[in-house]
Amino acid sequence: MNAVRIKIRRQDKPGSGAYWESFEVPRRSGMNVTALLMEIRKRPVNHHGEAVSPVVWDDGCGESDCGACTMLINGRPRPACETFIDALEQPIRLEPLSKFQVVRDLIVDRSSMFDALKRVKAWVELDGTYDAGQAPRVTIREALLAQDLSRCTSCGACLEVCPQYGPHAQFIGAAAISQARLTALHPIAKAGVPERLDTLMEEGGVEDCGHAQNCVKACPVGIPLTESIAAVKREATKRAFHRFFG
Amino acid sequence: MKRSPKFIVVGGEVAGLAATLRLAERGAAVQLFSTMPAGRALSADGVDGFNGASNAMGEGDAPRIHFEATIRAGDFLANQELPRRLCDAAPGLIDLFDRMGVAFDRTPEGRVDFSRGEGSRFRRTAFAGDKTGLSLASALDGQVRRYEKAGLVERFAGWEFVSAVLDGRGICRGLVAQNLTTMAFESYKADAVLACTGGAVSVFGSSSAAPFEGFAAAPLYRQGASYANGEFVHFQPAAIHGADKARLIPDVPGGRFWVPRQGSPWYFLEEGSEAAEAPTHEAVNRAIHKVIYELNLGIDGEPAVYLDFTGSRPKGFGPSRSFDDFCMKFARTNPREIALKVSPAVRCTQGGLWTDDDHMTNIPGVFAAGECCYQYHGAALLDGNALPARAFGGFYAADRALEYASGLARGCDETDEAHFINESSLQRERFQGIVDMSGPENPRHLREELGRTMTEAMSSVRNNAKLKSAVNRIREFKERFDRCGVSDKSTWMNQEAVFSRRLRGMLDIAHVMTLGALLRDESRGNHHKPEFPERDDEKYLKTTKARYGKEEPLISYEDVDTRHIKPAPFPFGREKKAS
Repeated sequence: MNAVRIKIRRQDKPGSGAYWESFEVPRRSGMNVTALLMEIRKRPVNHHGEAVSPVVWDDGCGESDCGACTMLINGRPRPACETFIDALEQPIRLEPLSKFQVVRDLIVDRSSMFDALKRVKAWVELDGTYDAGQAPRVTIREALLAQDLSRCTSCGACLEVCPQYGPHAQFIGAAAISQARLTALHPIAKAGVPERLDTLMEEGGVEDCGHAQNCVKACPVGIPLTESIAAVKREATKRAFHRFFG
Repeated sequence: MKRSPKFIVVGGEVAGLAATLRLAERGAAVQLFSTMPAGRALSADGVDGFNGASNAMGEGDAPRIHFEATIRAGDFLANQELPRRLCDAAPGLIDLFDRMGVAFDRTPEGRVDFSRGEGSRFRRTAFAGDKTGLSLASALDGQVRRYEKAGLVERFAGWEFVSAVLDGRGICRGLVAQNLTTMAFESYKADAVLACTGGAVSVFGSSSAAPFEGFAAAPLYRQGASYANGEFVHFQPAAIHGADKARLIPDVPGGRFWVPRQGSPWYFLEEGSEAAEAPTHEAVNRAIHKVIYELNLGIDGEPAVYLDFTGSRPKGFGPSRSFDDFCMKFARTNPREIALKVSPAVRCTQGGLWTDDDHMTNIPGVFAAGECCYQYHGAALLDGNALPARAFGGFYAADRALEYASGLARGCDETDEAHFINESSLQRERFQGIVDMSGPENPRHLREELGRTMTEAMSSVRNNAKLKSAVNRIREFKERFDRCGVSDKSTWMNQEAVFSRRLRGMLDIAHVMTLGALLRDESRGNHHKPEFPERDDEKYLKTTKARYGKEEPLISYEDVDTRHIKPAPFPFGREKKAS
C-alpha cells in the first residue's frame, strides 16, 4: 500500500502531557497536509490499529489567507493548506507552534498577537462610519506597499522563528511592528503616529529586535518584515531625537 | 433613567464587523460572537471586488445604472428597495473604506482605481489587489478592536451561536452560545440579535470554496425563521479542485477557456455562444456544462476544461497581482507557462434567512445581514456586488436594530429568567445526546455524500428527475444521521460533536434548497432548467419561502417588490449604454 507516515505531537488540553502518536494514511494525488489531517479525522485510528480521539487542528480558509492552520511541519512553521506532502520527508512530523499555549493537539492560543495589535493601535482613528467624503490621495507605490503589508494573517510564523520572542522576553514581535507601519502609512493615521511609535519605543518594542532575520524568511505570504522593522526604527529614532531636543 | 439597549452580533466577518462597529459608534454595548478567533473568519468573497458607481472614470456611470444592472443580473427576483439604497450608498462606502485603510488600487493621480467587471460597460469595481475581502475585513476588524479597547465591544471568539432565546410571545431576548473550547453553554441577554454568519456553501462539501460550517441560519430556521430563495447558488466558472477543497480563480484578465477537440484547442467561449455575447458567470458556467456533459469533451474524460493564461502577462494591479503566486502555491504550475485544469465551483449562496426591508427576520428581534440573508441579489449575483451588500447590510441592519431596540416597551432584562435557563439546558441536553451517539454511520462520510449529492443536483444546469432523487437522498441522510457515531467523546474542544450538530443543520438547509429548486419550474438567473427554458414571471416572479416542518420544509411564495423597475425579459443581465 502506498501509505503516508505521519507523527503528530498531541496534547489533550493545556497543562496535560504531550505525546507523539503515529498514523498511516493512504496517499491521494495532490494531497496537502490539510487533506492528510482530514483523512485522520475521518478515520481516527493510529498505526497500531487502535481507535483514538481524532486529531484537532484549526481548519481555516485553506488559501493562506487566515493563518489558522499554521503549525510546525517537519520543524518549520507553515500553513497546512499550502504544504503538499510529496515534497516532505517521511514520517511527516506535525507539531503545534511552540511559542503559544497549546489548547488541544495542533491548536494554539494566539490571543497575544491580537493583544499586540491593540497595543500598537493598528487602526485608523476614524471620525465615524458615515460618508465624510474622499480620503486623501495615495500614490501607487504606497498602495502596493500597503497591499503587501495588509496580507498579514497573524499566523505566528514570524514569532515562532524569532529568538527574541517568547516567554523569556518582552519583544512584541515582527507582525505587530509591521502592522503599526501599515497603519502609519495611511494619510489619515499620520496624526496618530507619534503615539503609536511611543509604544514601540518602550521595552519590548522595536529596539529588542536582534536582527536574526528569520521572520522574513518564515512569512508564508512574503511580507517584507525586516524592512518594516527598519522603517519603524528610523521613525522611532527621529522621534526620540525630536523629543530630546524638543 | 432610560435603560440602554443591549446588542449581540454573531459573525466576525464583513457584515458582522460592520454591524458591530456601527452599534459601538452609536454608543451601544455590543457582544460579538464568532466561531473563529478574531479576524480569522473570511468568506470566498475575497476573489471579488467592490462595486460603487462613483463615475470616477467619467463614463457617465451613476447609482441608478448600477441599480438597474443589479436588478437585471438578479433576473428581477430581488426585492428592490434595499438594492436601491445599496447602490446609492456604495460610492460613499468606497470612500469610507478608503479612509479606513483598505489598500485599494490607485490611478496615477493617486485616486481609487476602478476596473470593469464581467459583462459591465462601466469601470465601477474597486479592488485591493486580489485580496479585497480580506483587506476589508482586516480594516473593519481594526476599527472594532479600537472599540474593544474602549470597552464598548466585548468579543467572544471561539463561541458558537446555538439558538435564540424566545420569550412567551416569540420575541427574541438573547441567545444560547457554546464555548467551543470548554464546551460550556451560556445564555446571554440582548434586545436584538444580528445574525451575520455567512451562507450555506458548506452543504456542497469539498466542491465549495468555504469550509466554514458554523452558520446560524440553520438553528434559526428550526426555531421558526423563514428561509428564502434557497435554490439560488452562485458558481464561479473556474476553480482548482484540490484534495481538500475547491479554490476559486478570480476573473483575471487574459484567461481563455478551451478543450482539445479533434487534436486541436477549441476556444468554446469565442464562437457565437451566449457567453461570447456577455460573459457573465452564468453564461460561462452553462457553456462549460455543455462542453463537459453534453459534448463529452472534458479533458481526458474528466469534468474539467483548460483555462489558459499562457499568452498573457500579469498586470501590476488588480486581481492578477498575486494570482501567479496563488497558482504556484495551490495548482503548483506557472499559469503563464501551462494551462490550468479547472471546473466551476460553488462560491456563495443567494438564498438565506428571510428578512423584511429592515433586515429583520420573522422572529422579532432577530436581524440577519451578509450572506446568511437572502436580500439584494435575487436569482444571481452581479459581479462585485457581494462585498458592498455585506458591508451595507451590516451597517443598515445595525441602524434598524438600534431603532427597534429603543422602541421596545420592555427590554431583555425584564424577561423571565426561566426562558434563558430552559433554553440553555435544552441545548446542553441535545448536545450531550450528540456526544453520546455511537451508531455505525460516520458523520464525515455522510457530509461527503451530501456534498456530492448537492453538487450533482444543484449545479448550474438542473433537471427535475435529479432534484427529486436529491430530495429523497437528503431525507435518507436525515434518517442515517440518527444512526451516526461520534468518534470524540472529549469534554474539551470536541470538534466532532460540534461538527455533527452543524451537519444536522446542513441537512435541513440542503432539504430547503433542493426542494425549492425542484418546485421552481422555470429558468431564472443561476437556476437553469432545460425542461423549462424560459423565465415564467406569471408563476415564479416570487420569493420562495420555507418554514420548518417536522417532516418536510413548508414552502410558500411571496410577491417580489418591483416598485422601481418593472420586470422585462433580459438575458444574462447585460447592461444598457448610459442614456
